[in-house]
Amino acid sequence: MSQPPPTADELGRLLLPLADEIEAARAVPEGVLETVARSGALAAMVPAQYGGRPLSYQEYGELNRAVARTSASLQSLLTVHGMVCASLSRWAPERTRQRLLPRLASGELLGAFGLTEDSAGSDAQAIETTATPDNPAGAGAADAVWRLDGVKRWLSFGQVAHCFLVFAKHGDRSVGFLVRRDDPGVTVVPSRRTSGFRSAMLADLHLDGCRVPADRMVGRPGFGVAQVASGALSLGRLCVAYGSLGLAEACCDAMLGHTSSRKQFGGRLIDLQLVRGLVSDAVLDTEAARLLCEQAARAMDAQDDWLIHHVLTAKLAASRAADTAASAAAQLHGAAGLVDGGPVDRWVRDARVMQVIEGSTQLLQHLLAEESLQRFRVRRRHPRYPFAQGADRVE
Amino acid sequence: MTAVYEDEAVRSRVLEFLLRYVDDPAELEGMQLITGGVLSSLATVALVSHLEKEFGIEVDDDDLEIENFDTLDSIVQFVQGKQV
Repeated sequence: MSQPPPTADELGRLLLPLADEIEAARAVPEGVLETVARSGALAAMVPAQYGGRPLSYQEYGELNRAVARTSASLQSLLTVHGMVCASLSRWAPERTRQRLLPRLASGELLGAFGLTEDSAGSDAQAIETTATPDNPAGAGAADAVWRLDGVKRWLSFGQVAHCFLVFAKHGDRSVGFLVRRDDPGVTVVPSRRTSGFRSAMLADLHLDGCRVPADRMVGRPGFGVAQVASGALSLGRLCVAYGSLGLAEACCDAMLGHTSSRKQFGGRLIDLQLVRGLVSDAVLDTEAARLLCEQAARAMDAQDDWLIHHVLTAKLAASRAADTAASAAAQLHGAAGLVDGGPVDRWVRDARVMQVIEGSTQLLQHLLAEESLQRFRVRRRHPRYPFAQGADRVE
Repeated sequence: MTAVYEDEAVRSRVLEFLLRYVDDPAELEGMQLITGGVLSSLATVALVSHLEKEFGIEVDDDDLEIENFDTLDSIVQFVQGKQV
């Protein structure tokens, strides 16, 4: 009989001693990846019928939080692998689901997500990678092949991923494809070094006449970005929100530990009013982020009509909380917080990343304003409709 | 058991949902919602999710054709077809 999977906190405790090793290696060692795979975390977004061990979004969020307390880089694997698994489970042809999902669930295969390009960051519809039918004369539907050409940037865990969910344009319509690392025309190149997410093994994916069978199309032309990528990004944003929460929690604990033990001016640092201001602001933002994360996860579990709104607020608030808490931790640790590669330095650098990935703060503000306008229109027609609505009060 | 809605009921329920995206209801009549830019990517995700929950239907990968979701009429027709 197999062991039950570890809880989020058990996995967090298992990984915590490895934090410095992961950071120093600028990579996640294979043994750590095996530990994560054994925990079942990689199977969480795969339905049981394909070998998965599905978790609710609340449970998956907690896993992300616990892992990010050790390493935001490692947590980003749960983000992108989860996005790939969820997208395939929902929109890939049955044959492709059967062939790939059990291997993704076991961790035998790792998945990465390829949307960003030089021309397409916040404006995902601006992708220039092309998808073209490439069928020899007389080929039947079963032999249909597509040709992909373009370059995808900044794929988390791209250096070690075995397959990539990429998005391309067929005419003016976007479409998703699952590309395998061993497909002809695929080249993986490590991305330029980044200050944060040092160990996320970022890579650029070059597709040069890459030919993939039609049954690895995910979604249909016209729905690549509009449905597959955008749907996956809601999950990705929830993961980043919970990851930011874990990072913020770690910062709060570190600054509370440090300021309650360090003596200056004849007393504890924490007894100084200005220090208390920094600590309490960080704790306040972190606790508020937790409530919004939980609300967003509940909304996703309930498939609430306003789940996108809730996910946007959670990601915005939690990534800002991480930044606030990391800055406060750095300020209160003094010179010790500046040590290159130390935990405080790492949190500051990783918190910055959280406000960029899966939608920058400014893009999310733009989207949240749009969602708020939609709620306002409903309220205008139904005056008793609440201004804000928790996901536990689903209509 | 999932309720099966008549044409007009489906239409009014879909319309009620789509009204959150426009200031003037007339903008929805005969308008191309996706290709005409009324619905953003996120709105398209929300629409598909809403149809599944509201009408107890499942939208499969084969159903992801622009023609199924691009106008109010086509959405109503799609939901009706799924309910049969």
